[in-house]
Amino acid sequence: MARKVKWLKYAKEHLKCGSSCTASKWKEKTFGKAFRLVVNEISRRSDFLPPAIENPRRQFATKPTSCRAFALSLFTTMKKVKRHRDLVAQTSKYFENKLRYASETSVGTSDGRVSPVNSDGHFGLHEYLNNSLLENAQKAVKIAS
Amino acid sequence: MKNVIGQRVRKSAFAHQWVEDLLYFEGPLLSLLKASTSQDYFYFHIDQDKANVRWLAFTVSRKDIRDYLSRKKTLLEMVYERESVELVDLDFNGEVVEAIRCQVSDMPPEYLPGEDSWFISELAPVSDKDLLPAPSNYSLKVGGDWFFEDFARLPVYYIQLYSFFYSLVNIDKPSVRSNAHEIYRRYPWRGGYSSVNFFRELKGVIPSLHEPEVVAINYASPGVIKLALLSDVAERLRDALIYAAKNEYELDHLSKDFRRVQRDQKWADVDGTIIKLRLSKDSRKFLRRTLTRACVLLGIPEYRDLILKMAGNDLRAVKIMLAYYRRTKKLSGFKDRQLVHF
Repeated sequence: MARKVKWLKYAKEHLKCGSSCTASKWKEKTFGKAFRLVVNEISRRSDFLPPAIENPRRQFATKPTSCRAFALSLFTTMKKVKRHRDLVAQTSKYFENKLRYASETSVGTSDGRVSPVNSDGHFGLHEYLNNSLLENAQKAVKIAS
Repeated sequence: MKNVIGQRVRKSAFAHQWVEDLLYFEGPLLSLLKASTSQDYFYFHIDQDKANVRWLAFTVSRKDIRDYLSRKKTLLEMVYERESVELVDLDFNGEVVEAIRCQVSDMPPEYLPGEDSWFISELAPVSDKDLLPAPSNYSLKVGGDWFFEDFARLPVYYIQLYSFFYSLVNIDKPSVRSNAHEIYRRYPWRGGYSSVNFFRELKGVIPSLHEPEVVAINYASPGVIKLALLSDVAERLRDALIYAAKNEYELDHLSKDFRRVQRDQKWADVDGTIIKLRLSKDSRKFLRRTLTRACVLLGIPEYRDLILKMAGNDLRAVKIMLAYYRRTKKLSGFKDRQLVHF
C-alpha cells in the first residue's frame, strides 16, 4: 500500500529558511494532550495560527527564530500553560489583556513535527496539512480574569 | 493602536541594529538594539495592528542592562526614571513607519510595563549564562613615550580586531550569526572601502555592554589602561598578535605572493559578492592553500571553515584574512615601540 505523503502546512516558507530550518530537525511524536493559549472560549482557526501567520502577526529579527515562528506554541499541561501566561502578563499588558483562555487539544504523528519539550513544558509544532488540532480542541478554559 | 500625545521624531534617528532578544513569547517581547554610536536601546513590544508593531524604545546604559538582567530593577522602574520615551511603529519588514517622543507621564497606562516587570529567565530565548555575560576587567600594560596621535590610533586598531574575534568566538549566538553572515557577504573587496566598512560594521555586532570600556588609565612607564570587556575575546586577540609577530616573515611572503597572483589574474577587479566565482582549478587551489596557510600562521586554523563559509568564496576569504593581518601589524607596531604590552 502506498505510504501517505505528509506535507508541512507552511512548506513554502520553510524552503526560504535554508539550513537554519527547524522543520526538518523536529520529529513526529504521539504526544497526547497538549495545551495552547488562545483568545476565545470557542477555539477558531485563528487561534491555531503560528505567530508569523496570525493577524496581526509578530515581528522577527533572525532567520532561525523566523522559522520557529511558523510553529504553533504548545504546552504539556494546563498548569504549565497558565504559569507561562502569568509570566508573560507580569511584563506585558498587551498579552495580559489578549491571552485569557487556554485550549486543550491532542497531538499525534499525523499532526506534525514537534520540538523537544523545554523545562517549562513548552514545545513547538510544525503542522502538517489537514491536521486535526482544531477538530480535537475542546472548549477553552478561562485562566485569567 | 492608541493615539498618543507627543512630538514626531525623524525616522532616521531609529536606524538601530538588532542585537539580542531578552524576553520572548512567540516573538520578541523585549529586545536590545544598538545605535551606530555605542548606545544601546531597549525595545519593548506594547501593541500591534494588522500592519505594524508598536515598540516602546528608550536608551539604556551598561548599568541599566546589568541591573535589569540581575533583577535589581524592573522594566517599569527604568521607564519611570526617564522623562520621555519613544514609541516606534515598525512594519513587518522592520522599517520605521512613525516615531513619537512621548512624556512618560502622558503614556497610556496600557503601554507601560507591568508593576512586576522583572527580568524572567524562563522567557529568555537563551540561557542566562549565554544571554549577555558580564564583562570583566582586562589590563593593557603601557610604557614609553606616547604621542597624542597614539591615543587615537590604538583604540581604532584594537576595536577592529576585538570585533573580528567577537564575531568568531560568539558565532553560536543567533544575533551574532545573522549579523556577521550578512557583513561577511556584503562587500565586493575591490579596494580599501570594503575592508574599512567590514571592520566598522563588525563593531556594530557587539552590544555596547561588551565593547571595551575604559575603567582606569594610569599614564606612567610602567602604566596601565584598565578595560572592561569580554576577556576570552581579548585573550584570543592577544594570542593572535603573538602568532602574527612570530610568523611575520612567512605572512609577509604569503601576502606578497597573493598580491602578485592577484595582479596577474586581475582579481582586484573581481566582485567578491559573486558567490560562485569562475576561477581555474589552479587558482582555486592557490586560494584555498593561501587561506589555510594564513589561518594557521595567524593561529586561528579552527576558524578557517567558518570564515570561508561566511565569506562565500575563497577569494573574499583570503582578502578578509589579509586585511585582518594588516591590522594585526598595525597593532603590533605599538608593542614594537614598547608602548603597549597586550
